[in-house]
Amino acid sequence: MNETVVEIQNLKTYFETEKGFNPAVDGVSMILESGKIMGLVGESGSGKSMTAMSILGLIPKPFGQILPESKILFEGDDLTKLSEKELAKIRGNKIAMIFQEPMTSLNPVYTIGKQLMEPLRLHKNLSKREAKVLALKYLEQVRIPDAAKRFASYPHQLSGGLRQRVMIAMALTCEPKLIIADEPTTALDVTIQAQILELLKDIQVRLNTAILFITHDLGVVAELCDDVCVMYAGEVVEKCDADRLFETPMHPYTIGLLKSLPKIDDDVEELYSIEGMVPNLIHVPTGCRFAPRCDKSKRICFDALPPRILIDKQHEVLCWQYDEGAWSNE
Amino acid sequence: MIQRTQFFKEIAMDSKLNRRSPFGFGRKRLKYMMSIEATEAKNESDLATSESSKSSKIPNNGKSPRDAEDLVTEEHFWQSLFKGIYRDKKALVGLVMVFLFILIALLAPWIVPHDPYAVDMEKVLIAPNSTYVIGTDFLGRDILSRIIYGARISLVIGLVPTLISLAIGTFLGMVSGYFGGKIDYLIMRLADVCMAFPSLLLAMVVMYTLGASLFNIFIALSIVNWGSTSRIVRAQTLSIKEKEFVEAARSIGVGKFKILWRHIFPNCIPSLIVLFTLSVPEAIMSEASLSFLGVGAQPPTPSWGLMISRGKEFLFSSPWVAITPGVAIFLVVIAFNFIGDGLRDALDPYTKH
Amino acid sequence: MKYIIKRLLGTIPIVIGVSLLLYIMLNIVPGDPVALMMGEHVNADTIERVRARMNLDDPLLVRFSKYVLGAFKGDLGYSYKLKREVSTLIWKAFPNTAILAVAGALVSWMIGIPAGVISAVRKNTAVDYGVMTFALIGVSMPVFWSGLLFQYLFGLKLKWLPISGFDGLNIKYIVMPAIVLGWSSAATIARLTRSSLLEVMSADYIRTAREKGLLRYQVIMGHALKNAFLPVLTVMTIQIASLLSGAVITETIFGIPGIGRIAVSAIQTRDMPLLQGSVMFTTILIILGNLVADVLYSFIDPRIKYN
Repeated sequence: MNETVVEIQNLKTYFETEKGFNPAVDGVSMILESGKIMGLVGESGSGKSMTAMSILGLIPKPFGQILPESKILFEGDDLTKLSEKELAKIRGNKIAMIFQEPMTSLNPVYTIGKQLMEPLRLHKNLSKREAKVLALKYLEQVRIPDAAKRFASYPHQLSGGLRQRVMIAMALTCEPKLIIADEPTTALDVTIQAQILELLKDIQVRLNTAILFITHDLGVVAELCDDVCVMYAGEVVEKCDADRLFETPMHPYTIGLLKSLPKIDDDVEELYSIEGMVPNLIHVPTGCRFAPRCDKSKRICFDALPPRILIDKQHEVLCWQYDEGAWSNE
Repeated sequence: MIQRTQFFKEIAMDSKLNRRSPFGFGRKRLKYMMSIEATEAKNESDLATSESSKSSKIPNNGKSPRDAEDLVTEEHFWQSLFKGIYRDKKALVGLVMVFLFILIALLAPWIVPHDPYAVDMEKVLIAPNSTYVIGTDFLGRDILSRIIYGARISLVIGLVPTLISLAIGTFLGMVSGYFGGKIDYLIMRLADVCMAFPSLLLAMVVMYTLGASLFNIFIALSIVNWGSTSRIVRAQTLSIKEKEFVEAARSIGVGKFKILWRHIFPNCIPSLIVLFTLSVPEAIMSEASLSFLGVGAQPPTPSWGLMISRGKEFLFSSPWVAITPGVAIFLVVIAFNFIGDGLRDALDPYTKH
Repeated sequence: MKYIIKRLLGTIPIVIGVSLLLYIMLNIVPGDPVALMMGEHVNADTIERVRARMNLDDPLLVRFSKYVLGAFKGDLGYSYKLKREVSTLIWKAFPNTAILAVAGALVSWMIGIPAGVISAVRKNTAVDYGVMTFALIGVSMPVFWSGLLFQYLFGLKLKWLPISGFDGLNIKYIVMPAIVLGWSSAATIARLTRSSLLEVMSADYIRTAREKGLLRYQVIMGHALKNAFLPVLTVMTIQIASLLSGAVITETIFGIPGIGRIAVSAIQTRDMPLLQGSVMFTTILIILGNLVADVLYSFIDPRIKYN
C-alpha cells in the first residue's frame, strides 16, 4: 500500500556566497512514501526549505547548485539531472507545493479561478470549460464555501485561511503523487491552522498522496506526521517514526527541541531553550555541527564527523553518543 | 520631472507613506504601492533566507519584518550609503566629476584662458585651434572661457534654488504632517496645485511675471519645485510623530517647533539628501532650458543654455558654438545622476547584485 | 464606478486652484496691459474705455470668475499682439502638439519597455549594463541639446530627414522631433520597467507560478509583466506632463507651430492672454490626462476597485 514515491539520496545543495560555499543541504537522504506524511523539522536556516526547493529544481541559479553526487529518484528519473523543460512538466503536475505565505503567494492581478485552472490547462491540456469544472470540484474539496462565487474573486478579497485553501486546491488539481507543504500554517491563526492541518490529513487519506510537511513546530508534527526527519545545519540528525520521536528522542538536538516545547502540565518558570544559533556554514566545523551548542559534547564531537547510527530499522541518528566504543573511550 | 516623480514613488515606498496621507492625486496608486511595499519587505527577508539560507530571521518571534525595518536607524543609513558609494564605481566617478565641476567653477577667474566677455569682431566663429581650444562664438568670444564661467552660474543655480526649495518643502511638509487638520489640508492642496503644473511651464509663467533675468530664475526655481519635497517630508513626519521618542518629548512639554527641529527633521535628512542629488541636475537643466527658450538669463551672461540657444543659428557653419556648452551640461548632469544612482542602489535592495 | 466619481470630484479643486494660481500670477504683472496692447499713441480716454470693456477695473477675483465663465464658453480672451481670439490660436496649434506628443510617447514606450524587460531578464549581464548606461545617458542629455545633435547629424550631415518644419501627419517631419522628445522618457521608462520587473520577479506568487510548472519565460509573460507594468503605468501618466512640457522645447527647436511655441512667443512678446490661455490649456490637459490614467489603472489593478 505504501510505495516509494520519491527517494532522496545524499542530496547536497550548495550556495555560492561572497564569502565562500555554503552547504545549505549537506547529504540529506530520505524516502517519501505514498499515503504517508513525512515531517521535516528544524530551525530557520537548517536547510529544510532548500531540500524542498531542490526536489522541484527551483534552486536559484547560479548561486545555488545541486552537487552531481546527489540523487532524487522519482518515477525512474533522477530529478537533479532533468532539463528545465522536463522538470516543468513535473512541477505542479506530479509534484506540487504549498507555500508559507498564502497572503502573497497568489498573483494579485488574476482571479482565483484563472490561477486554479492554470496547472490544469498547462499539464492536462484541458479546455477552459473542462478545467473550470475540475477546478470547482477541488475548491469544494478544500471546503471553500460558495466555491462558484469565489471562483471569480481576486486574492485580496479572501482571508488568509481561504487563500491557503485555494493554494491547497491548486496543488491538488493535477492529483500529484507528492505534495510538499512548506510551513503552510505558519502565517495563519491557530484555529485556522487546525482546520488546514485537518484538511491536509483528510486529503492524504483520501488521495493516498505522499506529503512532505516542512515545519519548525513539533506540535504540528505530533498531530500530523507519520515519520519525521530532524534537520540541523543542512544535515538530517535524526530520522524515525513520529511517535517514537516523542517517546525516545535520541539526538541531543531533538531532545533540546522537545524540551523547549511548552507543556500544559508543566509548571516551569522559564522555557528551555537551546543556546546559540545555527552555525555559519561557510566555515564548516570539522566535527559535529551541533557540538558547540550541545550540552553532552565531548572532545571527539569537535574532532571528527559523527557517524550515522542505525538504532534499528526505523530509527537513525547522527551522534557520537551512540557509538559506544568511541564514546566510552573519551 | 519624471525622474523626480519616480524617486517620489520610491521614497513613498520607503517612508511607508501614511495611509491617510495623500490627497487627490494618485491616492489609490500610492495605496497600492504601499501594499506592494508591505509584500516586498516580506519577500526581502524571504529572499535573504532562501539565498543564503542562514539569515537571522526566526519564525514567529512576534516580530514581522516590518518591525525590523522600522528599526533602521540613521547610522545604518549612513553606513549603507557610504558603503554603497564606495563599492559603486559609477558613484565614485560621479563624485570626482562633481568635485572637478565645483573646482572649475570656484577657480574660474584664474583658469580661463581668455576674457569670456571680450567681444572681438575680427575673430568671429574661429574653429577650434591651439589658441581657442574650442573656438570662438559669433562675437569672437572664447567659448572655453565662457563655458568655464558658465560653470559658476550652473553651480549656483544647482545649489541655491534647490536648497531654498528643499527648505520650503521641508518646512511645509513637517508643519503639514505634524499639525494636521486644516493646515495640513491647505498645504497639501497647494502642493497638489503646484505639482499639477509641469514645472517648466510654471517656471516660464513665473519668469513672465518677474521678467527674464538670471536672478529671477533663482526665484522661479526656488518656488516651483517644493511640492514633492513637502509630500515626502510630510509622509515621514507622520510616521515619526507616532514614535515613542516623540511621544516622550511631547509628554515632558517640549515645544512643538523644537520637536520638529530636534526629532523630526533629523529623520528626514536621509531622504532629503537623495532628493537633493536628484534636484541639483534638474535645476541646472531647468535653468538651461529657460535660458535656451530666451526667458532666462539674458546676453551676455555666459549661461550654458543661452550659449546653445544663441549658437544654434550657426549650427551648420560652426557647430562647436552650440554643441560644446551642451557637452558641459551633459557631463555635470550625468555626474549627479551617477551619484543619485549610487545612492539609490545603496538604499534599494533590488537593484543590488 | 464610485472610485471614478470620487476621483473626478477630487480633480475639481485642483483645476480651480491651478487656474486661480495662474491667473493671479499673470495678473499681478506690473504695467498696464491696455497700454501695452494699444501701443504708445493712444489718449487716456481710449485707454479708459478699453479698460472698462475688458473689465480691468473689477477686483481680481471678479475678473477671474468672469474669465472662468468665459473659458467654459470657449472664450479665452483676445491676444494683444496677434489680434486674434486666443482659443482659435490654441485650437489651431493643438493638433500639432498632440501629434508630436503622441509620437513621442510611442517612441518612449517602444524603446523603453522592451529595453527594460530585456535588461531585467538579463540582469547583471553585459546587455543589462549596456541598456542601463544608455538609459543614464538618455536622462542626462538636455532635450534642446540632443535636438540640435540630431539636427546636425541626421539633418545636415546625413541629410536623411528635414531639419525643421512641420507638415501635419507627414512622417518625415515627425520622426526626428518624436525621437528627441521620447528619448529621455524612454530612458526613464526602461529604468523603471527594469526595477519594477525585478521586484515582481522576487515575489511569492512568481515562485508559485514556477512551482506550477510554468517555464521562466511563461512566468515573465504571464505573471510578472502585468504586475510589473502597474508602476510603469503610473510613470507613463506622469509622462504626459513631461511630454507636453518637453514639447515646448522640441517645438521651438524644430519650428513646429504647436502650443509650446505659442507660449514661448507669448512670453517674448509679453502677450498675457495668449500665455495664460496656452498654459492653462496645457495644464488642464495634463490634469485630465492623469485622471484618465487613474481610471484606466483601476481597471487593470483589481485591488483598487474594492479597496
